[in-house]
Order: sequence, then C-alpha cells, then structure tokens
Amino acid sequence: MKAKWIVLTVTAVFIIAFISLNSYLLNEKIETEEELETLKVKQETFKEIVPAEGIVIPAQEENVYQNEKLGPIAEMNVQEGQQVTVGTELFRYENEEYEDRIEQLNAEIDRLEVEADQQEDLIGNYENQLDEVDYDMSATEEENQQNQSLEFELERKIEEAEYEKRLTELKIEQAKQQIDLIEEKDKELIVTSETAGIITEVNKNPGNNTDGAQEPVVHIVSSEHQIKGFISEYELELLEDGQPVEMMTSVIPSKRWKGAVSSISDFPVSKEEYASEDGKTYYSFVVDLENEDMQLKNGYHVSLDVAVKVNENAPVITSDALVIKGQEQFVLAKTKKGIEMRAVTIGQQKKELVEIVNGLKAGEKVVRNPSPELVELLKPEKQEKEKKKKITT
Amino acid sequence: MSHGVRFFYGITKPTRHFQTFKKETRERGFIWRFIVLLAVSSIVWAVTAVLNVQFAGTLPEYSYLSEGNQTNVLLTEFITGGITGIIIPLIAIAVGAILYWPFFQEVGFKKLFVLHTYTYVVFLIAACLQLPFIAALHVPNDYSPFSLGVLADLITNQSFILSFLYSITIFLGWIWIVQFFALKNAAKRSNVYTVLSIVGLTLAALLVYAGFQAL
Repeated sequence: MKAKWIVLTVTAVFIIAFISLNSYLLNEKIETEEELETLKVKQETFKEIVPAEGIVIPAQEENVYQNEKLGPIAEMNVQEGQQVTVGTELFRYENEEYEDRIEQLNAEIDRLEVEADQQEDLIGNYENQLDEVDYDMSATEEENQQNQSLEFELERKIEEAEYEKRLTELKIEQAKQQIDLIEEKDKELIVTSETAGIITEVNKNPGNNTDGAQEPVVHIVSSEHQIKGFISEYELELLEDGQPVEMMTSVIPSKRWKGAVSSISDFPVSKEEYASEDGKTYYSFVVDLENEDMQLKNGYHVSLDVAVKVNENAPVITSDALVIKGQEQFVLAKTKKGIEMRAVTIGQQKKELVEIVNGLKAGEKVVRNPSPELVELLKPEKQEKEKKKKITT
Repeated sequence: MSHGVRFFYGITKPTRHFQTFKKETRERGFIWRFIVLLAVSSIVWAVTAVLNVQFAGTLPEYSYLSEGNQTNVLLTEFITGGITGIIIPLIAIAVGAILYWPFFQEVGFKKLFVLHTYTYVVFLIAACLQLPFIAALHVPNDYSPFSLGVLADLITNQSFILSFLYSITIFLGWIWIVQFFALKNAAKRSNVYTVLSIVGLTLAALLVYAGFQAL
C-alpha cells in the first residue's frame, strides 16, 4: 500500500513537473510569434501592353531629281555608298553662259572705271582754269565782263563733267550688281544634300522608270532609323501618339530599344506590305527610337510592346492580401480604428504584385493571408455605410 | 447479464468497472449518457474555440476588430465549435471502433463503439483541463502542455514529427489503461496481443492524423 502511494506521488510529481516545464516553454514560444501579418501598400508603375510586329526603316529618305530648266548635269560629286551630311555638294549643273556673262561685265566695269577716271581728270582741269581767272583792279570793264563769262562757262563745264562721272559710277554699280545676281544664280546650279545619311543610288543621266515617272539623280537614306509597326483594327483604337514602346529583335536578342509612337496611319496597309493570315485589317504606325545606337539595320524584323496605358506609381499589394468574393475583390485594411473590409478595383498583375486601381492608397496597411472565417463574417465598409444611410432615410 | 455504462467510474476504476464488459453482456444506459456526453463535448469545443480566438490569437485580426465584429466573431466561433464538438466525437469514436474491429472481431462493433466512448471521455477531460492554459498561456489548444510536442519543438521544426508528438499526451497512457482492461475482459485475448494491438493501432492512427495535419 505504501509502495502504491510512493509510485502515485512520484508519478504526480513527474506529471506536474512535465506540465510546468511545457507551460514555461509554451509561454516563451508565444512571445516570439508575430500577431498579425500586415503589408504596407507600395507604389509601382504598371503598363498595359499591346504586342505588335514591326520592321526597321530609315528615319528619312531623300530623292534628288534633275531640274531640266537648269540644263544638263556637269559633274557628280558623290558616289554610291558614300556617307553625306546636310549641305554636302551632290552634283552641279553646267554654267558656261553665266561665266561668259560675268567676264563681259567685269570688262565693262574696267572700261567704265577708266572713263570715270578721265572724267575726274577733266573736272580737275576745269577747276584749275577757274582758279586762274584773274580779276585786276586796273582791268577795264570789258575785260572784267570777259572774265566773268569765262568763269560761268567753266562752272557749267564742271557741273556737266560731274554729272557724267556720276552716271559712269552708277553704271559700274549696276554691272557689279549684275555680277552678284549671276553668282547667286550660279549657286543654284550646285545641288546639296538636305539629309544626313548614305547615298544608295547615283544616276547622272536619269531617265524614266516603268511607271513613267522621272528617276532620281541621287537617292539618300538617313543613317538614323525608325520602326514601322503593324497593328490590327481591334487594337488601333488603343494606340495614341507619344505612347512608349519597347522593342527587341531576334537578331540581337540580348538588347532592347525604347521609343515612342510618332504617327499612326488611318489607312490600312496592303497585303504586300504586311501579310496576315488572321483575316484582320492591319494599320501601320511609326515609332521614333530614343536610344539609336546603329546596331539596328534597315529591314530587321522587331517585336514591339506598346504601352497603351501607363499607371505610374499605382498602389500595389501582394496577391495574398487580396480577398475574392464572387466577382468582387476586397482587402482587410488596417486603420487607426481597426480592421475594415474594403472593396477594391484591381488592375494588372505582375507576378505576385497586384495593381490597385481604386480603393487603396500607398502607405496604407492591409492584412496578409486574412483568416477565411473573418472574411466571410465581415461586410465591406461601403455596403455597411450605404445600408445605414438607407435606414436613416 | 448486463454492463451498466458509467463513464467516470469506468475511467477512474477500470479494473472493477470493466469486469462486466464482456461480449455476451448488454450495455445499459449508454444512449442517454452518450447524448449528454455529446452535449458536454459541444460546450467544451465551443468554449475552446472562443478561448482560442480571444486569448490564443488563432484569429490575429480579432483584436483590431470593432466591438460588434468581435462579438460576431466569438458567436460564430462558439456555434462552429459547438457543431464541431458533436460531429468530431461521432466520427472519432466510429473510426476508432472500425479500426479496432478487425483485431477484436469477437467483441463486435457496438462494444468497441462503447469502449471508444470511454476513451473520448478521457480526451474530453484533457480538453477541459487545457482550457485554463489557453487563457493563461495564450496558446491555442493545438499546443497541449500535456504533450511531448512542446519539448520536441525545441529540437525540430518538422511539422509531421511535431504534429505527431503534440498528439501524444500524458492522457494517452490513461486511455491505454482503460482500453486494456476493457478489452482484456471483452476479448479474452493474451495480454501481449491486447497491449500491442492497442498501442500499435493508436500510434498508427496518430501517425496518419499527423500526416494529414502536416500536409
């Protein structure tokens, strides 16, 4: 009997010690555990992307045609494959007639300058004669009258000579102006490039092509590029000028280029230009490149990502904070008053991140992995408020 | 000859009580006692669920809710716990009886069902004794201070092992003693067979349960 009590006492002591130790350990364990896992609403830029296909084209092209009024081309100053800048002399029209005329005018100017010098000398002579006319006190009245008439005569001749000289000078001026005018016209005979790029075609004696149109003397394509994209009729409405575009080509898969939509065509592209098998009508648009680095070549096919909607600094949460009830989405927002269930409108998803279009602001806190039973129990804040309003009215 | 079902007497004095628990005897007073047991179980589970939320943080959002919502949550937990407290013992006792049936066929399903009802009473006592610990230690009832799991938690993080050891409590020994004396009288098998069957089946059941919990 005594042994039984000893066994019972030892067992009881052991059990109490065991429970006490466990209680102590559980108390320690629970202090280290976090109570409520929340998430601060962050900001992130979200883009709605429309994919498209495209092709690299020259940013600018220039066809220089012959002006037949200016005559035949005298000399070509460029050749195929040559790099040109704006202002580079391309070719020159023949200008023999202009050179002859300038020579004639220069000779005329020389002659007129000699004539002007002679007239200057004549004026000098008349002035000397005028100075020599002598009025003497002892001279008779008749002599004085003769001197006076001589004096009038010389003054008249000086005026006539000065008039002649002025006419000669005007003629010289006129001839010089004619030379300037001819030289100005001569400049028009030199044709320069308005595009920086590469000469792809040179034709000194251009004829007509198969359509009957005149062929260019020089064809220049710019060394900078643009992208010509193609988009279906269903996505055309989403496209706007200035929308950012990211693009890549399978030729250089490691690189991405950026740009922006610069123009959108209202007319559909022909099947020769963009053949699609889906039966949709396609339209073209042009993308200006931002970081052109000459790695792209004309004719490369590119894949385009057109950001048709950009929501900068949109509030974002992780998907584990989102509660989906039917077709509606909610979050459990932690406010100063406590936890409230709030309806939110979600946008796009980027891996675990969910764009919040409406219902949350950056910096607010939401509960992660909310308890399902609580989600079922709580009612959205707005609905509660609306119900209260209805009751009061 | 009949066997009068008395739960508390059976679990406290198993050697005497189960002397009449034989395959040829009939059980008296089981149904109403079983109904009362389910009612008590329902209350214990309901209170456990409420204490889990109120003190043990099983619903971390609880303390941030408005007063009205807190009441709603507690009420919901109470009702859910109460219903669970009726369904779980029905399933657990039936599953226990089915599990033992192939090994003690001569006892019959009905008697094994009654036997496992005694077992559930011990479990219910353990649950009642744990209630103050939930409130005092702020730990949910899954973390029993009567189990080996607390010590195991110091050396491993493996959820399967922890789930298994948290289900092995000091009350398991009591359950085994009750089951042994009951089956010793009812099955008339060798003591070794009875002990090995009881311990083996219980541990196997707990391992399966731990496996489900660890998933």
